[in-house]
Amino acid sequence: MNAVHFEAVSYALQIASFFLIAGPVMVRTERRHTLALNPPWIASQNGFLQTHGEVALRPFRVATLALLSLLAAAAATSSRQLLFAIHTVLFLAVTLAFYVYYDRTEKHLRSTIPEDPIRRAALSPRTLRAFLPGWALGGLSAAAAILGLNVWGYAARVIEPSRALANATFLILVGVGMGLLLRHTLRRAAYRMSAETDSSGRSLELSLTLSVAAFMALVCLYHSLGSCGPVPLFAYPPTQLHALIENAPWSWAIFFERSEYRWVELGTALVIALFGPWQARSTFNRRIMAADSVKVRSVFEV
Amino acid sequence: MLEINTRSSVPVYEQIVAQVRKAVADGSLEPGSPLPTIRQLARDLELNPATVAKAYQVLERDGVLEAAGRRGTFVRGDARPRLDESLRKEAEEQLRHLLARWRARGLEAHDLRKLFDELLAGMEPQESNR
Repeated sequence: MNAVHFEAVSYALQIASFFLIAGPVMVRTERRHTLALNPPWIASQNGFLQTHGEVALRPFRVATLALLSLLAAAAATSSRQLLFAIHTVLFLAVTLAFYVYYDRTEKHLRSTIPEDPIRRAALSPRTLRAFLPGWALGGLSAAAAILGLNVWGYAARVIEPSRALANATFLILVGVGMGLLLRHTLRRAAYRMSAETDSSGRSLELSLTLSVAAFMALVCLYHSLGSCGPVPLFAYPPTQLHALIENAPWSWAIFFERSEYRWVELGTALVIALFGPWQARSTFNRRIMAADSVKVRSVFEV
Repeated sequence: MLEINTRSSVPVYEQIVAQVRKAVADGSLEPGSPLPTIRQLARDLELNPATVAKAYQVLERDGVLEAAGRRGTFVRGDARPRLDESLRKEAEEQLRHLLARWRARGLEAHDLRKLFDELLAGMEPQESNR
């Protein structure tokens, strides 16, 4: 097995994990939410559960088969450019298409279910501390420290100024985006289910947001630390935004020409490959799939 | 967990007031416990924030909750004795009204006392079963 084959296998694992485990778990969870909106009404509708009880998962299987076939073809030609295009552009495009398709399907279904007159809410305020373990909040402080390091590096000229500025700008932009996401997760309305599933759902959302933020912060730390030593860890800026501020050359080609970027990409592939089992094992999804689907089914058994 | 019924004849703010009072009385809301913000509760219950604000105002007026500015709203330290007191006053008022009505319709005080004792005695086994 050569290096290209190894990459093809790692990307195949990532695609299979995402489309055969994480995707189905996520869309099934959304369907449970939809069915829990008004179980008595659903029970009164003949054939509703038979028609809409389960989500069609065939698109996931077809997409997996198509992408894996393309990956195999690219591996056979030993073309890294083709592998890269399938792993990034095509994979991302198919993921986005699925998101739009399943989101619209669910919204349409929800619009057909009348409002349940019974509404529930927890009698406790929502704070980050209520949903995340202490060490996760430590990660937020670490990200802030990496931002501080770059600001200090810029002022003290310890880190190459344009690099420190680019890192700081990138971290502030990511920080604002992630901050808004965290705020939205805390403020959005509760799921119309038990307090337990609402709480674990928020924990999962917050963990996902913080994981992405931590990954971005680590990339910036790696980039800024490379500037302190004699040999830069990243020969080129890691993002287009960095390149723009640092006035440095950047192209997608660096991802298949330079080994340090290949490791970053393989690392990302590994994280995404683990995403499927993480989703399937998450407390929230297991509870929704088990406890709340029992709740929905119990209405039909009465 | 707060649960309201939008089709109930009882106004929504009264349902909130009653359930917060009950949660304080049975100890599921401890003295000093923070409550959700008006906005959070209104969003979760899909209500107008003014409805939740009205419920919080009533609870503050009754001495169950206290607002601490930007820190939020909390259950008062002396909420439970205040609740007991207000419950006692409410019961006293209703009983006084009932007794006056039945006295006016001809029932004697000793008949009413006997009836009251019998009803209470009938309720005791139910209470001990709980």
